[in-house]
Amino acid sequence: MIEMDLELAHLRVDYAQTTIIQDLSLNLQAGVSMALVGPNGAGKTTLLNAISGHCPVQAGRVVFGGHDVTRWSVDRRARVGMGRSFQGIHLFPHLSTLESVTLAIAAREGTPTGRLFSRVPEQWQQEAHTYLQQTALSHHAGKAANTLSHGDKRKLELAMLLALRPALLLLDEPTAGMALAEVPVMLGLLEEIKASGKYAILLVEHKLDVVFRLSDEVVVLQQGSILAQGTAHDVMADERVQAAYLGGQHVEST
Amino acid sequence: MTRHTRQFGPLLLILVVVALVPVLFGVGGITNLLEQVFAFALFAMSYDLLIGYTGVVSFGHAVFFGTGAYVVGIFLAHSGGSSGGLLVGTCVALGMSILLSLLIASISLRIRTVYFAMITLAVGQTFYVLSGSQMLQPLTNADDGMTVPLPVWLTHDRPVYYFSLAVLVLCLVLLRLFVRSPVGLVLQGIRENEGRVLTLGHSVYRFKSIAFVISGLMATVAGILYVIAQTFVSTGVYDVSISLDVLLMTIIGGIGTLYGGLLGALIIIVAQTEFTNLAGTYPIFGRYTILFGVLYIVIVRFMPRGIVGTILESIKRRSGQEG
Ligand SMILES: Nc1ncnc2c1ncn2[C@@H]1O[C@H](COP(=O)(O)OP(=O)(O)OP(=O)(O)O)[C@@H](O)[C@H]1O
Ligand SMILES: [Mg+2]
Repeated sequence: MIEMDLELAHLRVDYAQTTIIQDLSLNLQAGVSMALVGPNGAGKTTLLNAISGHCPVQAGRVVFGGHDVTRWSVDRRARVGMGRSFQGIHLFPHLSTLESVTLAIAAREGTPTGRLFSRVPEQWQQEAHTYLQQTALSHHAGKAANTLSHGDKRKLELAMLLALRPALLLLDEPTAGMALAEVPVMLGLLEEIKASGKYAILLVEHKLDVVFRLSDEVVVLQQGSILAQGTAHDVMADERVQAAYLGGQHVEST
Repeated sequence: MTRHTRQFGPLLLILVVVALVPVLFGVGGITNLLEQVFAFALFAMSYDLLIGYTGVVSFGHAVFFGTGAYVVGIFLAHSGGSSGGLLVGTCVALGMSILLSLLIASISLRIRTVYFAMITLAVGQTFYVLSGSQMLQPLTNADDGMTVPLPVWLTHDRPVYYFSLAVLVLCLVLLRLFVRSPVGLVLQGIRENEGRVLTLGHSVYRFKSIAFVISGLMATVAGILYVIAQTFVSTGVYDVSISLDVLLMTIIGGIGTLYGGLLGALIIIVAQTEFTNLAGTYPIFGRYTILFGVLYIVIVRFMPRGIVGTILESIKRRSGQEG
């Protein structure tokens, strides 16, 4: 089996004339969970975009599972095992939760375009149900995505991601905007996912308790460069990190 | 009642009634009118595949309709109305339709979807001009249009009626299976959120191309049904107004309902015919396109889901309340 490692080498991303990510190098091994923290505007989302193919890279390389994917399209990267969620809700408003998850399974299975007139396989539907169950959405199977609560929408994002069976999970603030009461459920789900050891996880998160619980390693990003890297405890004890955070004032807590 | 009878019961009932029309009312005016409705219903449903299921707007869907009508018309006219002419013409028309779809897809999809509407319009207008050009007069009879002889087995009203109905039902079944297939699901995903579909790993380009091809093929078959019903073809089949009519039919019936096209076509074709008749006595009715414009606004404003969409919605809500 090929190790599905992610390797970023001397990455640079510009928007217009401004450099957002600067000479950034990073390694993420299969099965490892890494948290990406940093003040607003540090470039966390931009870095995820560069990895998933949602924004072009001006210099450097993105290597995933042995492929140099730097110039690959978004869908092609997804097909080799990159699963991505977004900071904002990014769902199929009028499709049911079951259909949404089935759509992810279809992507994973590479929907046979030769079978244009056959039904959606029963197997897929059953599998979709298991992902809804795993994310505590079973009772919403027939509901349209846009009728769900914000927290359930976040869970649906996760169910779709799991259905892809990706090797790498790129999660952009999976608890953002969630009601306080909903966060523990999401946290529990993410812990299970991490504990399964099946995924490399790159998690953007502001809430420090979430970071502590979910990450093996923490990377602090500031103005597009890595400020510090290490275990959560070490990194948070770092003076420069504290300075950056106190300056940024963006430590959230649940 | 099982879910299937509830779902298909009404459709079967309608089919039986429609099949009995020649027996109950005789043939002639009414069957000929319905044959046109069949052709346009299929045309509207093919359009719904694009606008309703994939979320792509085309202003030149007539290019497929017209090609079906013209190619089969030419083959029939130049073979003296032989069955072979019909068969070969149909195959050539379908082949051309696939090539056209792929061509349009390759030009428009690589850039941006907005261009699809423009490009279909441009290609449609090119064919409109070509079909009326003097250069092609020996083939198409240019501006005057062609009378199209039909094979012997299609020379009577009844066979034409049942043939058209059978083709419509067959295509309807295929379309229904298609929208329920995994590919149909991906298309609906594209309509809802194209970027998300891409991020899941689907090749949006490939799926849109498939939608264009299937939709184009169905519109081509609709054009073939039209020429068989009319036994005449002229440049009008490529006219922009046909593309707009079909948009109106789809919207009235209900976008994204598939069956809406059946009702939309019935309403528009019957209204067109009635208004044209009335215009003989009261010239004011010759301006019925204005009424269509008003109808369009009323539907979009008060019934955005169209007639079938609104009915399905209320059934769903009622059964939701019961359960
Ligand atoms: N599409 C864009 N065009 C131009 N500038 C952009 C664009 N997207 C982001 N930026 C800029 O890039 C910088 C980094 O933004 P990014 O969204 O990556 O930050 P972030 O670390 O994810 O912040 P947050 O914690 O608020 O989500 C910001 O200064 C932002 O203004
Ligand atoms: Mg961000």
